[in-house]
Amino acid sequence: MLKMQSVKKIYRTDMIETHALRDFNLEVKEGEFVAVTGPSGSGKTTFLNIAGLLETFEEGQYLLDGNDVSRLNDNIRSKLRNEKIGFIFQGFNLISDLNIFDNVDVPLRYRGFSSSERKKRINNALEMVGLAARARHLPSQLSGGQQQRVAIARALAGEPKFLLADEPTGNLDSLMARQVMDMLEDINKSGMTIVMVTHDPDLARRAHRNIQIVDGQVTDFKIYESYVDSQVSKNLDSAKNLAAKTI
Amino acid sequence: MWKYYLRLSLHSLRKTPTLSLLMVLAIATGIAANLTILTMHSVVSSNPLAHKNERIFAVQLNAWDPDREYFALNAIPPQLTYQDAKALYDANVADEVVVMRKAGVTIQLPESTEIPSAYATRMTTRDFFSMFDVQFIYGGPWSKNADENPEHVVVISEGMNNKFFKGANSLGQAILLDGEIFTVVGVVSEKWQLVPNVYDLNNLPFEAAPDAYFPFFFSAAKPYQGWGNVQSWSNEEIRTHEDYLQSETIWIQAWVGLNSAEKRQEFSQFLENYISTQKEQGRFKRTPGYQLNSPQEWLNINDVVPKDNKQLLMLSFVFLMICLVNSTVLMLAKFLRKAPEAGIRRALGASRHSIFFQHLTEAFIVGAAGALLGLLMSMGGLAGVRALYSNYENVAVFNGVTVAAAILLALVATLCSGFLPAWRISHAAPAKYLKTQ
Repeated sequence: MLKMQSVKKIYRTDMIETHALRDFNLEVKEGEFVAVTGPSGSGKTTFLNIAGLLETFEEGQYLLDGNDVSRLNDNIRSKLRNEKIGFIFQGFNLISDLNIFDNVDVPLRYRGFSSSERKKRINNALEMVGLAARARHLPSQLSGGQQQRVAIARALAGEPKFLLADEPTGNLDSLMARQVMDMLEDINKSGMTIVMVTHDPDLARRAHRNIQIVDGQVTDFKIYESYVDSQVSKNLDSAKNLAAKTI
Repeated sequence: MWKYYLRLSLHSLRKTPTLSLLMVLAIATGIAANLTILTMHSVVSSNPLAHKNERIFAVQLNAWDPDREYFALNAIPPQLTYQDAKALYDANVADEVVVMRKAGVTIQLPESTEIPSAYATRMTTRDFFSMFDVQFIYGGPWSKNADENPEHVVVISEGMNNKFFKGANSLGQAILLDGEIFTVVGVVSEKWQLVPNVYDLNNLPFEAAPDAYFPFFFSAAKPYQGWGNVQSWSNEEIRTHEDYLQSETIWIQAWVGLNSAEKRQEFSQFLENYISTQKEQGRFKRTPGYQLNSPQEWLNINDVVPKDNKQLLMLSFVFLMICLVNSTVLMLAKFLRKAPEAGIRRALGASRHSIFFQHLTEAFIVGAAGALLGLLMSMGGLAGVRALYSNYENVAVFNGVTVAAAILLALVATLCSGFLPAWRISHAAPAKYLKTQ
């Protein structure tokens, strides 16, 4: 789904050159739930911005869903971002003077869907996160957890290929954080690929894999039991199905 | 997407009503000032007889002081003496000949017992009406015979017709001009108004059309009160009206119609011959002896557009630019404040073009509202000018040029005030704003 090879990103000012990513390599398979951790300034956000086609990079290659997106122009990157990627931000990033319905509508507008198609997708997405009844409310009228659920609905309404989540529970209390994580796990179980940046090791453990970034490079990764279990479970299911057919 | 941009724009403008009003007012004020001055300038600098530039000519004859050139214009007197005007008319060389003057004449109905009022009239030969495209609602000019052996016939204005005859067909009716009975043979439409009065720039070039017209050669019969300019260089003694008619006093405007190059040549030859003859009598000692001027040349010579009017026009454009800059700055501040929202939209898939056109739509609405308000304000401005300066009554009015200018100004205002802010916001790096929400 997502493959970065030898990616290098440098931020330059008049005085300083900052190597945010250096020889960065990462591969995320379809259906995976990957947590990205690392200290502040390690390059997590830069990685996320590049993965989300919000920023370009100096060297290396980025393959998204099998296509090389390393050197695309802004228009094509915007189009791919709209069609393939769903974003979930720490600060929710809802547009404050639009109601919930119109907030979820935003990415769909740029997709060119008809009015009826948009309405159907918005209603489905809000139903999925349990907020269909609050469609005409403004973000300020919702709790933090509810706002993040709206952001999830917005990210899912366009049926992207994968989700990028930047500290999705960073602004939430522990109860709401658990609820949001439960939701993300459920979404992942339905087949969605998720890449999540987090500082919280407990949250990172709920992913299949944990990638650690230090000084712009991947230094470590862990595969968690839950991922192993899910792969074993998947293989067992495949074996059972095969046996059933044979019999 | 345009409907979406429109909806977002209206929503955005409603969210900041004070700022939106300030931006609209900034544009409106600039457009109002500029449009008011531009309207007046376009009228005063226009040539309503441009289509006749090749066919009709104002005649200047240089029978001025041999020791000193004429003190204004192109150093040739703008008017003729009576003897020169009569010679011009009697020669019958040109296709059309107009000799005329402005006179103040009392006009009343024969049965009226009120004290009569004096009105601005034009004593002219009949070719005036065809040469200057005068439009009639009733009747027409008098005959050529009425010119030469002046008959008591009169053409009145539609305003005068409304005043005395309640707008009815007054052909054949009698009115008194300076106590003498004249018969109405024509009524000029109030729509006919040359601005400027090309035919007589020697007097007020923007005044209203005359109230009445009657045959010029009544001037020979008695001294009607002249309301036009009268000048002389000579110290000759003038005791009688006859002395006045024979003097070097200039008070008559002359125009000729010359419909072909051959006719122009013939007429020029006539003038040269006439001047040669007059030189033998001690006149026409200056050079050039004559000049023929097309309507455009006549406007240029008379410098109808005042210099301060041109400067005022330049200043109005400067003022408009200042207002547009103000509006641009306000719009830039507003759009950059919305940069985080633009960042979110970009993250969600909006292209730079989408963000640009979304904000340009908002700028266009502000520009259009400003232009509309500016148009209304300029109507008020022009009404104020008309109220303060009566001789600009026909100048301070809207025309097709003005309305087209208003539309053009609106588009320019929109582009100028909205382009930079819309471009800036569309090129802001989206990632920069996503964390700062």
